[in-house]
Amino acid sequence: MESFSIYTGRTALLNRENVDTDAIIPKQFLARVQKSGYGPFLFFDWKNAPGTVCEIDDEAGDFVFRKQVLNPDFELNHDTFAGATILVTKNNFGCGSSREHAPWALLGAGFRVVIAPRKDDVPAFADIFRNNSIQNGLMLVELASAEVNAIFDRVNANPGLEITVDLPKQTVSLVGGPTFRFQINSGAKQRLLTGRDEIGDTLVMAEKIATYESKVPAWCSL
Amino acid sequence: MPKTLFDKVWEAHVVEAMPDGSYLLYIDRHLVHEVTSPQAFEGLRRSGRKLRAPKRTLAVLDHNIPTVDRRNITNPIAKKQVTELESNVREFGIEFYGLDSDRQGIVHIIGPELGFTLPGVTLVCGDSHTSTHGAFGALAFGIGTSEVEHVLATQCLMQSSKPLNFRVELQGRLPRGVTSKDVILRIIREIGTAGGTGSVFEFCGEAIAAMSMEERMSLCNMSIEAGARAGMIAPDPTTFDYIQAQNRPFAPKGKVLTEALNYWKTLQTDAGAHFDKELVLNVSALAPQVTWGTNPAMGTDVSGSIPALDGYKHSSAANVERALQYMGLKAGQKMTEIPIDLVFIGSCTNGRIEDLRAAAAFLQGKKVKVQTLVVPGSMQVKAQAEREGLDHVFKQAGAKWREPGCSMCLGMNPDIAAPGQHVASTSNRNFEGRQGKGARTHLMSPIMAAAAGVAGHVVDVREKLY
Repeated sequence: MESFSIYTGRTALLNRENVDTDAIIPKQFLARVQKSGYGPFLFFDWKNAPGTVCEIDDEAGDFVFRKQVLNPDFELNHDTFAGATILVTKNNFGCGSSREHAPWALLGAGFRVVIAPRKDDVPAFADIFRNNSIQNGLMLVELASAEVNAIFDRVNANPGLEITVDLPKQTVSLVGGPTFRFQINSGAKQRLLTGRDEIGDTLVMAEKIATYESKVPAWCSL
Repeated sequence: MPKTLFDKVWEAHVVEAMPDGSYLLYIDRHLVHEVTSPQAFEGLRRSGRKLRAPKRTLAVLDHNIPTVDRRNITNPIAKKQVTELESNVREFGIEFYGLDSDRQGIVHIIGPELGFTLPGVTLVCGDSHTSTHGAFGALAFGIGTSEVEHVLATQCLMQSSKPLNFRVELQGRLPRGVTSKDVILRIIREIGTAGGTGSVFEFCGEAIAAMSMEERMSLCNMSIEAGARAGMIAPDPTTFDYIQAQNRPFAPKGKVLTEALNYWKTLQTDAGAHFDKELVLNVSALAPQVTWGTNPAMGTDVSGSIPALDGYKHSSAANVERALQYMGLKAGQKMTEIPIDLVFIGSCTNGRIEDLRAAAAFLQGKKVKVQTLVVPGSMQVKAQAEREGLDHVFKQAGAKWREPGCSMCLGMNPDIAAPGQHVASTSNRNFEGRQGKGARTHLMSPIMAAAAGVAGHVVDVREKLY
């Protein structure tokens, strides 16, 4: 996977809570067997207006847009967010289905970072989505609600504002300030920084796994 | 130190506690379906890796399968995905339940049926509703495709932290017409769709002790809808009876079973064990629950009304307004005024025999006013229902009796609701577009869905039982 260290990009705002993975990438695209090519279908039902025709092309063996009509009411279609690679949204982003197609679609559409707030003691991102994102080098940053609200205010006042995410220092900096510090689990941080093959890491421990397996009770064996 | 059920199962599976705070966890059981596995098998092929323990994985077709003519998959992309799983299981030597198998069904229904799901095991699947299997006292959770590949190659998963313990005590006994589906919808409504994030639920209390395994599975199934990593129930005689029933080929037997039972009986939370979070709910006066919005926490008592825009505690008025606009409903509207255009009875939440019996008992001698789809969760459920004549009851009531699969729970097969249609659904998610673009899902129990089908609108089933 691609590693993540320090990254600067333009910001887009998605002022919605509880964005589920069905919304991020609807089910029809899950029938594809590829790992890439989901970017054009990100937020499909929100992004596209009636009149859009996206269907399976027999020759291509894939979905193609015959006609695309963008929904002018969808935030991410606004000109001010063109070219954005950092998505700032609200709490519980990525809830619902375990589909890894969600981070694949976000990365495919150019996003490298998603920033969302904790709500009281509730984490900003759903568990499975968080794991899937780390696996693919999509950086998730959890901030306090007031900090995310401050980013919303700044970006609304300065469309196209750039943000820098510094993973080694665990900071998010807006051009012209302020800078916020974020927490990240050290295992997840190392994985993102190195971008290493996690399966390879586990395979190195084959002996320990074999020792564990030798103690598995008969009722649990297959 | 006293331990919770979750602590015990977790600790029994730690292969290595890593210096960075991660845990390498052993995975005893792995279930695979066609949608979230092709990229994992492709990854193995590219890296030249083999399966570490092929016998610990079972594969099944469920998501894409048409429920009318199951072999006739007209969508070429879905067909390719199905064919790909068929060839992957051959190439990698995995036990497979395809379209010709009498054990085929929804992945979370066949695991328990086969005796593959057992107390005290770790069980994963590339599917969020893997939490279902926690009903047996297993630690069962959904994973993504990269993790599917990780489990296939290593039989382990790297977990960056240990989840928190969250105790959910259910006091009292369920009243007539109220089910475990209503209990879990009530819990989610209480704590929100992220209330369980980072935690593993343990459900306990008088109401749990009284529940059948199938009721417990419906409850644990929707733990993920409250954001929980998993939901667990300590195994008890109800669990042990289920495992020892006929026709569970993977369940231990004889002397091995005795050893297993001795161990499983220790899988109880110790007195004084620490829980990070707790919720106590008395269910003895619980009303049937119905969702009005676009996530499973947006629900209320069937006897109640849709809240005011600022009367919903888990999201802003703007988000509630957006949800109601999508649903074509208004704040303050009575729940029983919600029209129903379509009924779906099935899914990994409510597609088991007891669900079908409850719906059929209600529909006996009645007629549905709207299109009603009854989709058994597995070939075994279908066969049992037909032995009991439930298929005739459904057909005489005007419902459609279909072949097993995930069907309209997510509409990856041709079973899709039309834009604007209100669906009384026994499934688990009422997200925008889940059952079809523009479709409006109302989650409820099987008996409530059956009653809504007869009335053509949401009704309080308690008023129809005598």
